Amino acid sequence: MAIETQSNRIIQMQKVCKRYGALTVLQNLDIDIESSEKVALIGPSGSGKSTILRILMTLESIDSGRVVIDGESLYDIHEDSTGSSVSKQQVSRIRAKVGMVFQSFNLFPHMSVLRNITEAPIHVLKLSREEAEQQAVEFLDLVGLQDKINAYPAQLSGGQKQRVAIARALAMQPKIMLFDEITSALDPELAAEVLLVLKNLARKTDRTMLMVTHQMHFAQEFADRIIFMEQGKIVEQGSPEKIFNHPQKERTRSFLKTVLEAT
Amino acid sequence: MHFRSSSEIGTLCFLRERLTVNENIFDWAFALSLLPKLLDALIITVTATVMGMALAMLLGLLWAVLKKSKQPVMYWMATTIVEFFRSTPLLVQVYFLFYVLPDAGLRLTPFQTGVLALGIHYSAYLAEVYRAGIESVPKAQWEAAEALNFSKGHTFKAIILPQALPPIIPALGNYLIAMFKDTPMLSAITVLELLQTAKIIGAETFRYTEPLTLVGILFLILSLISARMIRFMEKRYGY
Repeated sequence: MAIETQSNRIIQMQKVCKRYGALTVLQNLDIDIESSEKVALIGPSGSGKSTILRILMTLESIDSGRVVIDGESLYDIHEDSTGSSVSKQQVSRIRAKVGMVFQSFNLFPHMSVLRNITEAPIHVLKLSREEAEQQAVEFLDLVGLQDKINAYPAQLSGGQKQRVAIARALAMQPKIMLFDEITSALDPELAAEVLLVLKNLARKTDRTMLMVTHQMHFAQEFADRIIFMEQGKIVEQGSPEKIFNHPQKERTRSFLKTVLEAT
Repeated sequence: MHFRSSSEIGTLCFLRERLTVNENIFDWAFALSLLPKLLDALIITVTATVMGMALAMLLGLLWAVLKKSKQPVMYWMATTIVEFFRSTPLLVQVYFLFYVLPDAGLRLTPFQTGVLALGIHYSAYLAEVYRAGIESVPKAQWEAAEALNFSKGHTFKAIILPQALPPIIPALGNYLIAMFKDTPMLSAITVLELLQTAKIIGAETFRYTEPLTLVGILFLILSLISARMIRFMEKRYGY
């Protein structure tokens, strides 16, 4: 039984601590995520949600703890800061399993939509140009932007940019997709179009998805599990039904009350 | 008019005399006859500038990249080179290369030495220009590239550099024109560029006005054309 669950766990974070100087962002955080699970991280600003995604994307290191992604150890650092370091090749191998979509899109402004999507498959996955372009067309189709294939990012709306960014991340065929507040920079209408794409995507693929969001209704629809965090710690987690309808902790109740009243 | 002092009258007489003596202070026919020779020299000047700039842009980029290196030796080396070449006069560097390189066993023509000196000297300035351009690219672009698993080299070449260059076109242009105007320094090591050619003409004909005026005009025209071209490139490659 233990072995079986172990093999299904695609992300394991154990006793992860992350500090910026005097500020502690994550405190002894334990998170396990099953393969193909859809998880939404919610909580007030500064609770460390985005930091978790950035650690999994290898954009941020940790101070202590253990992180294992798809059976490969990314960090194993003891509290006295000793521990194994990971080679460049290993980081690159882990990175290949993870894709990320950012709040501010971060498209490459000097490249067309097509090249934004094909650049990494061609240069990192070593696909042929034809293969990469064919695949890019499919992903653009998926996000509903085939007609923008030759446009440049500056010619797109925020919602369109974010959908291209999703297609770009998908083109690397990651096992795990991370979405970092991807609708926070968009007005409600454009946010809705991005969320619709994401909902379709969640339905169509068995990719593991981890998203940080402030859109509670969307989290409710999208996720198998909601994790509510505050000050670098998990306050409460469970199914959307449990968290939104029957929260156990007083802090969860007050947070949801404030957030849901505001929208 | 009526109460002019004697000294004033003296000055006027002197001026009048000079004007009559040098009635043709600028001989157009003579100037015109010099043009072919000066245009040949102009080609040398322009070639030295273009080659010097190409070298400066390559070396400048190299210094800028090395200065970003995490290895202390690389950083220290690049910083020293940049500081050294920026803090010593170009003319001294030109002389130094001209007299010392042959002793070191490297035989270059005066023209090649001149291009090398211009290239190295200006690379020190361009390193700073590149640095500013690279730093103007948002950190998020590096992160997006990292998330897509690009190598550092490919990130720099395909993502960062194409965004770092357009904003620095005006600065690069300024240094191009500055280098162009510094080419007369090469006359010190016998390169037959514009100024040297004009001086030779002067020495041969005892007339300096026409050749030197033409040199000034040719520099002016080319600088203005370059400035125009740079502005065009700024518009073309900005996005």
